[in-house]
Amino acid sequence: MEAVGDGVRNRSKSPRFHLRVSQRWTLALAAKKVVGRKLGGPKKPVPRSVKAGLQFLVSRYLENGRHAQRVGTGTPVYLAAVLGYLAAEAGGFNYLPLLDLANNYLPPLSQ
Amino acid sequence: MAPKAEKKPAAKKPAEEEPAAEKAEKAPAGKKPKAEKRLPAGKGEKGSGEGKKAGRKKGKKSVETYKIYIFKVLKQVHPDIGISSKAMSIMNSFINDIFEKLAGESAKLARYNKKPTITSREIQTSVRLVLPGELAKHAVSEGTKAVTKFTSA
Repeated sequence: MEAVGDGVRNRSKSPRFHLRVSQRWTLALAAKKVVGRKLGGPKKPVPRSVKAGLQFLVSRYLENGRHAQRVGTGTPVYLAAVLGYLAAEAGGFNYLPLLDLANNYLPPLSQ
Repeated sequence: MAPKAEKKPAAKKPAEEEPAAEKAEKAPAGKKPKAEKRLPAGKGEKGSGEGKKAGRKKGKKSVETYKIYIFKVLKQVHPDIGISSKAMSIMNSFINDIFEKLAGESAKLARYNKKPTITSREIQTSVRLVLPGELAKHAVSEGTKAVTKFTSA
């Protein structure tokens, strides 16, 4: 015990070193807190196309007031999915759907 | 009129297949940078990144088309195939046409029921009315899947 005490007294630099270490630790904790806040903070805007897993845009065409006064949130998503599907069908060079469209130019309501 | 009008593109497509094959090498090289250029601009301007309205200079009006999205879908279906500019215009017109049909039908449905809102339900019913047979079934399935994923996300 005495020897340890003597050692501490003899080495004058050790307290400073200890303080430096504690300061570093405090800074590290602060940095982590800041990073945590940023991560947990307000989320960045995610495009609706990505949310819905679509390639076609989820746009505001329906919101021009031309078709209806109000538009539901799911409406452009649904419409984008349908248009994307049709583009894939026609883009796949599958002629049958197009011919089918030709046959049913005026589709009956009961269909 | 309708069958004749649609026979012509059917007749044109095999003719265009060869030039499309020839242009396939050039088309993706030419169009990819455009697609790459537009998207970041769109994302930069709008936080939501809904994308396609990439504004150019103030003098020019931004022309809105579906071309980059049609290209994306094509790469999903056939990664190695390109598309000519005329074919792309045809596809763009096709998408606009279907959009107008569905939107118009949805507006009618909303009006008939005396409601001011077009919801996904109106779109679903319009799809069933406008598209024939299996096409409608698959389209409804795709739409429902997308809305479900959108809601859960």
